[in-house]
Amino acid sequence: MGKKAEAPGQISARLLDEVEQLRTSLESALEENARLMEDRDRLSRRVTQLSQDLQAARSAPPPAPPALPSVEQGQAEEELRVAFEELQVLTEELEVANSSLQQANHELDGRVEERTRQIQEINDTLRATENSLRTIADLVPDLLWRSDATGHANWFNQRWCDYTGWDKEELKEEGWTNALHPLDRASSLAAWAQAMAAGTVYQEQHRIRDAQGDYRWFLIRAEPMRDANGTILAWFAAATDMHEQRTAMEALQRSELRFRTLIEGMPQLVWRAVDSGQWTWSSPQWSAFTGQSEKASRSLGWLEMLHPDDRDHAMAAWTRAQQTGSLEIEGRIFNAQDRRYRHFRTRGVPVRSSESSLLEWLGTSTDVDDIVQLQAHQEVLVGELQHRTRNLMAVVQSVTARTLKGSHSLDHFAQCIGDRFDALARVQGLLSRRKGGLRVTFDALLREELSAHVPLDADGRGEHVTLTGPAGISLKSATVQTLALALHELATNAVKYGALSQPAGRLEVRWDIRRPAPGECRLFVDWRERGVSELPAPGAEPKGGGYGRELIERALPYQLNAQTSYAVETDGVHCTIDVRVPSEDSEGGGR
Amino acid sequence: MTEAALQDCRILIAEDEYLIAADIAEALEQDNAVILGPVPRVADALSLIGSGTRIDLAVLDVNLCGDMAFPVADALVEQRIPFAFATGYDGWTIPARFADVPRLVKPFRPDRLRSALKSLLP
Repeated sequence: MGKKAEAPGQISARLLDEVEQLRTSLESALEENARLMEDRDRLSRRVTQLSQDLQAARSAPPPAPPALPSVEQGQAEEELRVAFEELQVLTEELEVANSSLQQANHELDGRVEERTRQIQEINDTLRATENSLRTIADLVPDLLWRSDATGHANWFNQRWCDYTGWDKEELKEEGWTNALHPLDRASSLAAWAQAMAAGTVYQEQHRIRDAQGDYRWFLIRAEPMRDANGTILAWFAAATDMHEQRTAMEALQRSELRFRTLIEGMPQLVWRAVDSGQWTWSSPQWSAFTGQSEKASRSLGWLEMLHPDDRDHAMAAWTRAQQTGSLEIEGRIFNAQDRRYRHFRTRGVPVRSSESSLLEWLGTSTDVDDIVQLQAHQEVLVGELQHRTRNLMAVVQSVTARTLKGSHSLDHFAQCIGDRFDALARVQGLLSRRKGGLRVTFDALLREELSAHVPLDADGRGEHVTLTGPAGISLKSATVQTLALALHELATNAVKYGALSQPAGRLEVRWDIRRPAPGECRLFVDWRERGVSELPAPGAEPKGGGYGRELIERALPYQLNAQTSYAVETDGVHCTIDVRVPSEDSEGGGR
Repeated sequence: MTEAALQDCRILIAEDEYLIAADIAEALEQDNAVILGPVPRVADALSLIGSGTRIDLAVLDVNLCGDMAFPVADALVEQRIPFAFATGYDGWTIPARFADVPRLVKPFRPDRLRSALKSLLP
């Protein structure tokens, strides 16, 4: 309570003191008066005595002639006269004293009356004030209470009773602390004790149980009331219901925690911005990815982490976003760890208030580098596929035309074209079955082709066939198809007219790697047929129509830069192919 | 079938697939054109263009032994030699500066080749 509230009490005390003083002085005045009365009565009694004595003396027979008064009579009269005069003086004094006494008494009565009236007024005012205060105390929604200087609660407003369902007797002293939540009680009481010891303001949040047994959060504030000397007279406390705010705030905090956990857990780089791309915040992922601090990313700092070629584009996107209300940027962002830029797709949406005014922008930047790389790779692959497919169609067209030229009947054509398409199909199969950029190897190609004509064991041996050479010699993909077609023509001719067409025939294929110069790696193949009879005469039209020879002698040198030889020797065909292959230390893949 | 307009026309063929190159050469030889090449590689084509020999027309495969043939195309443009692309690729792989160059999408018949080359002649 403030000083104004104390004033009536102090005035009241002061007035009571004054009335007491007045009463004391009145009493002493009355005593004085009584004493004066006693003096007067005593004198009066003596005058009466003297008067009687004088009367008695006069009525006795005159002992002497009346003309001559006796000495005795003269003395008595004199004494009486003196006493009478004394009496008169006393009576006058008494009358004066009495009159002033009456006056004082009257004044005193007036003052007492005045003071009494003042006290009455003040009491009325105090009563009215107290009533007002009590009304107000019961009117406010807060729980109010008061305790003495030692902390013993001695007054509670009605709300306390209404809220807790307890009466004021139950609340008194320490009773109210039983309504505190068990989890809050110890800390709350400790803080309360500390505040009282220090004489400082107490402010705590804790839960108080209501009449139904539910707890609600309150903000409790208590302040000491001091007298003029600073001594604490009492404590006044108020508990304000803040349950909704507190629970809403806790919900908000949980929501924010979830939001932060989500944002910091997602792989995207998250940011907030205002106006035209002025960042106000970036998530930890931004700093982790770019190496740029959160603070440095603010405003247009983030632009520095963008590829220089993408910056104008990004700012243009921000300008557009002001009209369209959505932001989309494709741009490269620098990655500190790999020391290179990666493709990102950045999207932003405006955050609007309930009045739909734009508050800020919230956005994410998603790493799409792998996708972009894959897309680029896929485009190349699709292009390659088109290229190969259409080239293959052109090759098929050409092979068909040549086969048609070399065929003497439709049956012959059907047989030859079927074999050649099978050979093309086998090599396409080899190429498409490759895994992860592995190259087709020469031994696999040779075995695949020969196996289509004669049975071979795991070591590449057949009844008439010996294969000798290292495994795993990689071929350039561009080499494979033409080489396969050439091998097919050699094998087909051997089966039809050469070493594989006769019991005495033998086919030996040897191959090896040669390194004529540093970094140059060449495959040397020696195809030798032996034990073959009925060979065509030198210079005669080849039995296969010449297509096979054309492939070996012209196509391989033209297309693969190969050096080849083809000869029909006395006991069979002898063919050599010398073609460049990728060196073993060069990377796989390629075309 | 044959195209008289191509008579004595000196035509460069740059095509890495032997069989296709041979077919193109054969078709054009039927028209009495003079075949330059065929060449399978970018370097071969460039040296032929740079040799000073007269070239009237060219048929250019977009992919020559794994290399894009655009340097050859640029050299042809520089020498004001009209040419056509013969390609298995769709249009998107060809740079915009060659947007006006006719394209023969493989596989193609000799007739289409002839009409494409004829349209290039002045």
